[in-house]
Amino acid sequence: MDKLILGGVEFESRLLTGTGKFSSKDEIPKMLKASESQIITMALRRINLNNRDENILNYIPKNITLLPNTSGARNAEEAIKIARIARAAGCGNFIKIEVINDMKYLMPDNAETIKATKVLADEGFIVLPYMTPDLIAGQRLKEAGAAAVMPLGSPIGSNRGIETKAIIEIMIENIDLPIIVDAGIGKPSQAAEAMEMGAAAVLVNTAIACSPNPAEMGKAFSLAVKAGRMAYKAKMAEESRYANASSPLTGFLHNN
Amino acid sequence: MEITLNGEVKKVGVKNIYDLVKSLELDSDGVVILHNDEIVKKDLWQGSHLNVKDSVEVLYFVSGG
Repeated sequence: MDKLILGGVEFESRLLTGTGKFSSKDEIPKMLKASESQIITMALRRINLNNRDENILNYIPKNITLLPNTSGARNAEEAIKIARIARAAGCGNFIKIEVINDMKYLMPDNAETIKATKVLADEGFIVLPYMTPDLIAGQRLKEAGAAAVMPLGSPIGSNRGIETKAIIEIMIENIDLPIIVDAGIGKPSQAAEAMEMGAAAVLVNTAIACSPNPAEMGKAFSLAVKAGRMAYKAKMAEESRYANASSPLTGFLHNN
Repeated sequence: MEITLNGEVKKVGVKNIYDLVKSLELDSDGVVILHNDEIVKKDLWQGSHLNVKDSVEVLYFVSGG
């Protein structure tokens, strides 16, 4: 399969995963192995000194690229601060920018996301911004130095699939950067759909983590992503309004 | 001496960030310290002296999508 290139770094897998919502963190390394995902997200928080949760990094194999997110940031300034802290913690240069003020749909704030992208790209981060699908905002993100653009398919954790399909198709066609569909993908067929559309990759968390068998679901997503990419590269047949016979309609039974 | 640790006023008997992290029995891998809102890299923990009313944030990575 052709490689995914983000900020000059090459990846075999086009499935990005997340560490959220697993019933047991022990499932994370199993899922990574089964899905062959090479990039995984996590978040930064204050340690609860009274009730300690285990460090998520202990569950992520060393060969996996860490993609810390800026969840909790409500503006560009906070996202920039979180990104700098994550890098200081030794997590590398990748950052998923996520700036959210809307608590009902968790729709990202594109204007603040563009501002944060500019500052962080200038500081040498490989910036992957999560955004509300929009062509012009996507182009601004490219100008700001993003390594990819990550429009949402439908609201985070909603499992509704690619409700924003028409806009994402326009973005894929007109933005010269990898477009990664992030959020809303609930099943492998929807991941395949995104890849058939020409998305460079998909980011799937809830749909894998909330399965009773995350490793198996991770593998199912991996296969779907590969199938979708392969179909996109092989170029799909055109749709038409009327039937086009696949078998010869020989006329020996009828004369007309 | 009283400092603000993760938003709560606490009495501590240590003099620098390194000893503070040690006293909290934290796995120092992946822990990030903000001392008076500035990031302090791990190799500078020992030289970062605590003063009364300093603020220290101890952060780390958790699950997230």
